[in-house]
Amino acid sequence: MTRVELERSGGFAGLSLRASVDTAGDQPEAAWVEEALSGVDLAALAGEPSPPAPDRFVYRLAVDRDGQRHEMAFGEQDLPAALRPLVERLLHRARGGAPPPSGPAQDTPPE
Amino acid sequence: MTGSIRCIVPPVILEQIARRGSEPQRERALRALGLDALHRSLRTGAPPRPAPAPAGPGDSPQRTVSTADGGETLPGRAVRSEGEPPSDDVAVDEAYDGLGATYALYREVYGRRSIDDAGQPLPATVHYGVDYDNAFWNGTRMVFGDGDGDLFNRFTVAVDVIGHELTHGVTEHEAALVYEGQSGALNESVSDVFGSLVKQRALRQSAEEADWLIGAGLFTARVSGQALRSMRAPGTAYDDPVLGVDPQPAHLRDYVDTTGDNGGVHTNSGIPNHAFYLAATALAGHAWQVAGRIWYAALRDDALPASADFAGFAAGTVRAAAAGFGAAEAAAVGDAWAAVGVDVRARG
Repeated sequence: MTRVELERSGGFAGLSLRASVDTAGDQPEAAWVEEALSGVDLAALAGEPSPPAPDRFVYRLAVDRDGQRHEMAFGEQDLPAALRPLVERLLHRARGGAPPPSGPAQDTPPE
Repeated sequence: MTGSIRCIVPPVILEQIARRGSEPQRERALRALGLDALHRSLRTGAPPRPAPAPAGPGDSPQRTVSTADGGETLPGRAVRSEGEPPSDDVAVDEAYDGLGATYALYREVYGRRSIDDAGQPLPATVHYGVDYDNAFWNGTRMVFGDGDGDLFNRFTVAVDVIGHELTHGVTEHEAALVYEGQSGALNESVSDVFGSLVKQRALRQSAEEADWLIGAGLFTARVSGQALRSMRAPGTAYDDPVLGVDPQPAHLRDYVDTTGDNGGVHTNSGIPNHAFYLAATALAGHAWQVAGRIWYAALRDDALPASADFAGFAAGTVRAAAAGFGAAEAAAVGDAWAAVGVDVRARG
C-alpha cells in the first residue's frame, strides 16, 4: 500500500492546497498512483528545495511506500518531470474537481 | 468533467451581475467596470506626460507581450510590441496595459526608469501552461497563467497583480529582501503596496476611496471571496469551503509560524500591508504621493539589509518620512507601525 500527501503553498495567491491518496483505503486510485510512481527513484529526490523565488509555488510531498517514508520539497521551477503526473492529479483533487476519466491529469489543450 | 471550464474567461464578472446580485458580486462587478474603464483610458489616452530631457534609456516602456499558447516554453510567440494597437486577445491587452500602468507609476512618480532603473525592457508571456493558477516575474519576464477556471480566472485580470510582480524585480535590484520569514513577508508586502498603488493611481483614487484589495477579480464566481488579500482588513478577503479562510494577520502578535510558503511570506505580509494602509489613510490624499514615496525611499535605503525584519524596515520608513517630508509624517508612519505591533518610535 502507498500513501501520498501533497501540499502546494506559495504562488501569488499564497493559498495552500492539500491532497492525499491512500491506495489501501481508496482502491480505485491505486492504479494511477502506482503508474505515476513507477520508475520514480523517491530516495534520490528526497530533500529540501532550492532557494526560494518570489511567487513561485512550493511543493511538499510525502510518500509512504514499502515501509519507508520519503519527504521532499521543490520549488515549482525544480519540480522533477517524473513527479508531474502525480502532482497534477493530486492538485486536481485538491481543487475539488472531479477526477479525469482515466490516465494522468493531462486534460485537453486550452482554447 | 467539472474541471474543464478553463482559460479565456469572458467577462465573467458582468455575467455574474446578470445572474445574481449578492453584495460581494456587485462589488466585484463594480471593480471590474473600473478596470475596464482603466483599460479603455490607457488605450485611447495620450501617452504619459513628456519625459524630461535629456532622453535616455528607459524614458518610455519597452513592452512585448507574447503567448505561450498553453505551453510552458518561454518566451512564446510575440503578439503585441510597444506602440502596436490592441490585439484581439484580452489577456495580451491586459498585460500590455498593466505593464504600462506599472512603468508609469515608477517613472512618473518615483523617477525610476523601469525595473532596474536603467531602462530594462518589459517582456511578458500570457496563456502560460494548462490550468496554471499563478503569475510570476522570473527576473527578466512576466509570466501569466489563465487560471484553472474552477477557482481562478486569468491572472492578467487584476492590474495590481502586474504591479506586484514587477515590484519583485524592483525589490531584487534594491534591498533584495530575502524571500523567507519576516524579510520575505516584507518583500511580499512591498509588492502588494506598489501593486495596489498602480491600481489606485490608474483609477485616480484617494486612500479613502481605494478598495485596498489585492487580486480583486481573480476568483471565479464559485469562490466565496472578494480578493486574495485585504490591506485594509487582513484576514477578511475570503472565506470559502474549498480555500478556507483568509489566514492573514493584521498584527505582530498573530504572526504565523509555518514551514509552507517560505515561512508564510504571503500570510505574514498582512502585518506590514496593514501598516502601509494605516499610514496612507492617516497621511490622506493619493497614497502614491506621500506614503508611496516614503516606502520607496525606505526600499532604496542602502542601510536596509537584505535580512531586514519588520522593525528594521519600519525604522527605515520613519527615517525616510522625516528626511523626505517632516516630523508630522514621520509620526504618522511610526504610529501606523505601532498599531500593528511594530513600535519603533522610541528609536528616535
